[in-house]
Amino acid sequence: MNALRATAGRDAGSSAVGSGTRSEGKERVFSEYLRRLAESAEPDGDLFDRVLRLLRGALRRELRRRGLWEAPPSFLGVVGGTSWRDEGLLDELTHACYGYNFVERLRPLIAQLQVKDNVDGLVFRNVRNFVYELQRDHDPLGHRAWEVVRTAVDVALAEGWVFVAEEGKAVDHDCVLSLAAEADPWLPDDPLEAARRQAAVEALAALWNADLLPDLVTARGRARHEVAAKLARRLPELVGEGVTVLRFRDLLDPLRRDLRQRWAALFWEARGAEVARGQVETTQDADVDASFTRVLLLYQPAPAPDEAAIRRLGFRALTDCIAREVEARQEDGRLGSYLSTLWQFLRTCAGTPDPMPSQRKLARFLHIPRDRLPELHEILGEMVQRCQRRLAGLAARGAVARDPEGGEEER
Amino acid sequence: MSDEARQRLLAATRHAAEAARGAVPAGEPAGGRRGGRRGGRKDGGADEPPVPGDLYALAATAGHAVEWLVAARHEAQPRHLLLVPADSDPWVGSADLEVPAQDGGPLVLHCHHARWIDAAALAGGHRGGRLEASWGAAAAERWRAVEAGTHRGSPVERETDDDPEYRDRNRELAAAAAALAALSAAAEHARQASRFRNPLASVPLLRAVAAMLLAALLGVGWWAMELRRQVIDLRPHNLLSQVVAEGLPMGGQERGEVKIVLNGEGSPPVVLVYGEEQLKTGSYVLQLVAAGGRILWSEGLTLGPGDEWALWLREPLPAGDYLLRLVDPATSPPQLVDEETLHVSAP
Repeated sequence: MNALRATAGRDAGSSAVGSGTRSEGKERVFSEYLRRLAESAEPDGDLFDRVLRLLRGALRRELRRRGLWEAPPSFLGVVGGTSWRDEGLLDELTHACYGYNFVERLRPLIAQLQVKDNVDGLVFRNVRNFVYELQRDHDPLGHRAWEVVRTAVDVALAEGWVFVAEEGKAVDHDCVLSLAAEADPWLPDDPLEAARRQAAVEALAALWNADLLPDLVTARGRARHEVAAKLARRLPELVGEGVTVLRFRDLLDPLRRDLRQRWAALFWEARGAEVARGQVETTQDADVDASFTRVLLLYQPAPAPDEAAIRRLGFRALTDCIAREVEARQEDGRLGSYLSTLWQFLRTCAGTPDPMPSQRKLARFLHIPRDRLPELHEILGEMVQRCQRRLAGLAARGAVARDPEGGEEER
Repeated sequence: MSDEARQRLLAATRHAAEAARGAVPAGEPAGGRRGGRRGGRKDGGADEPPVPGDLYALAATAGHAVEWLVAARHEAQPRHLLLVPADSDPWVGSADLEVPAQDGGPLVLHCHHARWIDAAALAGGHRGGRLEASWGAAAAERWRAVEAGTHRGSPVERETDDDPEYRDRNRELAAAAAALAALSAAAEHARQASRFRNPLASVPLLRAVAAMLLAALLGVGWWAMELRRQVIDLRPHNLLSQVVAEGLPMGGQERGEVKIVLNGEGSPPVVLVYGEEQLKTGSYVLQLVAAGGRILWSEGLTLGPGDEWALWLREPLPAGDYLLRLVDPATSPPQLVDEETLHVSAP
């Protein structure tokens, strides 16, 4: 039988960010580097180079694990190229990851080193968090797809129609899921069978997305959980296609790919029109790290004079403020619901460089009557401006803290 | 990598390392702390009592990647401190407080998992940083609001609450908080034990006789010969009902394993099995802890490879949740080796 034991089929570094080369991993390079920094504060040059090399390897593995290796680097906010095979881009990411660990989080790491000999695991954990955070901020669509699929799997596990093949293993990208209690946890290594299964999952993922959109992207709170529960209830359809065992990422990747294609199609028409008029760049090299500006510019013709100050508070502060305003309108019945849907859509596409789709397309995609869109845009525009003023005031006065009732206040 | 980029990273590292090492100078008086700075010193400030704003790393929770912020001191029981777990992960949920870089972060204070603990539990920890005391007060206030159900959090924070990875992290933080509570209980117990000797511990012969009588009554005589027995007398607590194990390791004993069997009347036994790599030969304390942290009993055991201990609950336990803890009393402070949850269902 041409089969491979699922748990043995993973490459060594795929179950976690893992260590670097085998010998370097055993040497606890990160811990040694931190120990020396704790003693003298002077970075050891040789160790520094080895740390960078290890981080680079860990990042490469983490990108593969999350299905991001083949994706544009812009999904992690890295611009200037279209592939991670461009060594310069991976260098840039490695340097940022180094700063995340050994500059911003140096004190906590050194503190843990006083009570634990080996903190290499904490550094690898930070690498995972680093990639997670970048994707969440720069690839909201991909992050959203992951959130929904992961929640759906959690629901299915809780309700007992999906099982983790390797008992006790946490659900992550490499986790093998079994859709039948009696199913053997084996994955096929016959390429034809693997391709057949992949095609089956892709076909089903397309069907599921068609049914679940736009809620898959725009639903919030309880509604978001309901979307995930709907997806969970559809997972047994895989069994009908002969797929009883699959890795989590084999479920996530086709669904996410299909979602991206639908998204691209939504924006394609508008982009095509602007390209034809010569108004936009035709490459992906344009600055896509523009979530912040995009939301602001959506409702004003030019950057506000206080935009730089607001930017310091972060995109999160702005989205939080607008979300509060939208939430306050939830009792307005249908209007509140439309506002929430439109705002969630805008948040998700904030990182997309393409121009907004036409009103007609947008209305059809979001299931909002077209004649309501101007009013909704006007209300959201007022909200954005109110939030701008509020955040500009806070930025001028100092750091932001959140009060118990959700409004910002000066700390 | 260009030389310029390399030098820039090295300089940033040097700066951060100096900040981490020198922000709290050795010998600084407890009352004379500077606000807004953080960092550790080599001695970890071991001689100073913990005060609100201090950040501690503890060996017992190091595996969970958390530090503990001293948020408040109990007004009526000054020995007790409110500790809040802090990490630098990317999730800020509705019960959390985010400490920005300029205030000593990036840190996230997970107020929902705050615990009152005996200050002695921090004795073996490392004071590795410090926030302004107002962050302790803010964390304590957030904890009270969360406990009272009066805090909702912002929309984005509530979205984070639903993030599957944040939910995973919360489970980890709950485990860290449980380990901290056990550490505190062990520290408290160690202090009490140094003052009062367990009267039962001084009558091993009586216990052995009681064990033999019990074994005979239960008809397990031949088996009893192979066991080192001990009877736990629970009469002072007047316990009722039956013990049911949940989530405990069960299975046959392998060479070198240590097995502890907790028998309850009319119920399946609770079996704890430890491999050689999990448990070194030595003296341990097994504790049964009620909800709320009260230690119902605490018994010393000397465990070595191949040992099997059978412990008998003479009186059934009332329905509820309990913790079964194995503590190493030889370390200072006593370290939690294992903790298992017991769920006792109503008869």
